[in-house]
Amino acid sequence: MTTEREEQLQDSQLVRRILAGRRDDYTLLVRRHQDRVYSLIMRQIGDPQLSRELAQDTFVRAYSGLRGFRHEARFDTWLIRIALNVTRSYFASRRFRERERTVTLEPDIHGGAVEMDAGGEEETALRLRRAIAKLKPKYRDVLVLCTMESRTYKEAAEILGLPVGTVCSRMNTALAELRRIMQRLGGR
Amino acid sequence: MSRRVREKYLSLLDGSLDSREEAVLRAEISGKPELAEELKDIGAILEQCRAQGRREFGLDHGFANEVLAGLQGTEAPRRAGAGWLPSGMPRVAAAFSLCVLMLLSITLVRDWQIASEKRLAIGQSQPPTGAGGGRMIAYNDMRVSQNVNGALAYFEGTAGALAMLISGALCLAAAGMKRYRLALAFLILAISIFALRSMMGSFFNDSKIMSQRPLPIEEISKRIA
Repeated sequence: MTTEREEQLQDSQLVRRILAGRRDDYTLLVRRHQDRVYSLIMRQIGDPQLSRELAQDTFVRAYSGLRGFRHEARFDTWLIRIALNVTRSYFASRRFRERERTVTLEPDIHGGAVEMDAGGEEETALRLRRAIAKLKPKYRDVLVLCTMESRTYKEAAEILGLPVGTVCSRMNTALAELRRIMQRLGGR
Repeated sequence: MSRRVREKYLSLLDGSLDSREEAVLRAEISGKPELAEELKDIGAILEQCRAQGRREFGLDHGFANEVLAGLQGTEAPRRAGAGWLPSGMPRVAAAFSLCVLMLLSITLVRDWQIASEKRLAIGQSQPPTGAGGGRMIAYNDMRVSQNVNGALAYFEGTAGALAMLISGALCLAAAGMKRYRLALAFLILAISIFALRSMMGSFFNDSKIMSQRPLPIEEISKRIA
């Protein structure tokens, strides 16, 4: 069980404690950021089970690389970067390609119980996700951060380690590409 | 053209375009239906993406425990310095580097002492070349050239080699402790010393210096006369 004092510890303090050998403190960090990471993945993947798996993978990777965390950066920024990399790896995997081959525009094809208020809206979301998955990773990351995650260009630039101008330019290209892909997929 | 307009349009959607710029943009779009269509599509896509972003997803409290259970087989993260070497190995490497360093230092100091004693002996045994009964040193004095030569030889030889060795050893030790930036710095230092030694050897080598032997005192007196 965690005490109230532990709950109030900052991320960087928790990281120091974990590095000092207090592995259980990692649950505090996970609880604090799990929804943010899961949402980021879920918005791109759309499958709750798979997103959960990838979120878990993100936290395992973060734990393994905790030593590389630099305290001048924010922990959530660093974590989002790992989550983006995990999603990127998934989109490049054979697993995704095989899944894509079987996918149709049915909302619950993967057994994902995504609650939506209207079937049309879910269909649009699914089409959008499929189009985003077809984007080049460098454009996808920018698009996801600047639109779905509501990050400013500056914040996105910080997360991706890019100049703000590059983020603007990629965002522009990403939208043009996305339009092309969605037209090809039939509908927007 | 389209790219620039798209950028402006994105700014318009973000609300960061002032009224004058907006008017210019709208005027530009109005004459081009294709462009207007493209921008409309982009606006719709942007809105779809933002709508996706407004959906919140959450995980249950058991997830953190699942993650922790998944970490059982994972190696615990460690502080810098406890990297891929087995525990205690960095210390052994550091101790070894220190021993090498001490041995080299002792050898160097001993060599330097012998060399300076020899030089001193030569200086005392040689007849004075300048005025003032040997206490003053004249231009082109043999002892000056010998000492300069000694110093250069010293930097080019043992001292330079020692500095190179130390840098190399520290580079290895730093890399062993996963301090790669520090290791890189030592590597650059070692390479720089090597380059400096090469330059000294090429442009200020012993033979060149020694070849400029001072003129005998008789010759100098004759020239002055």
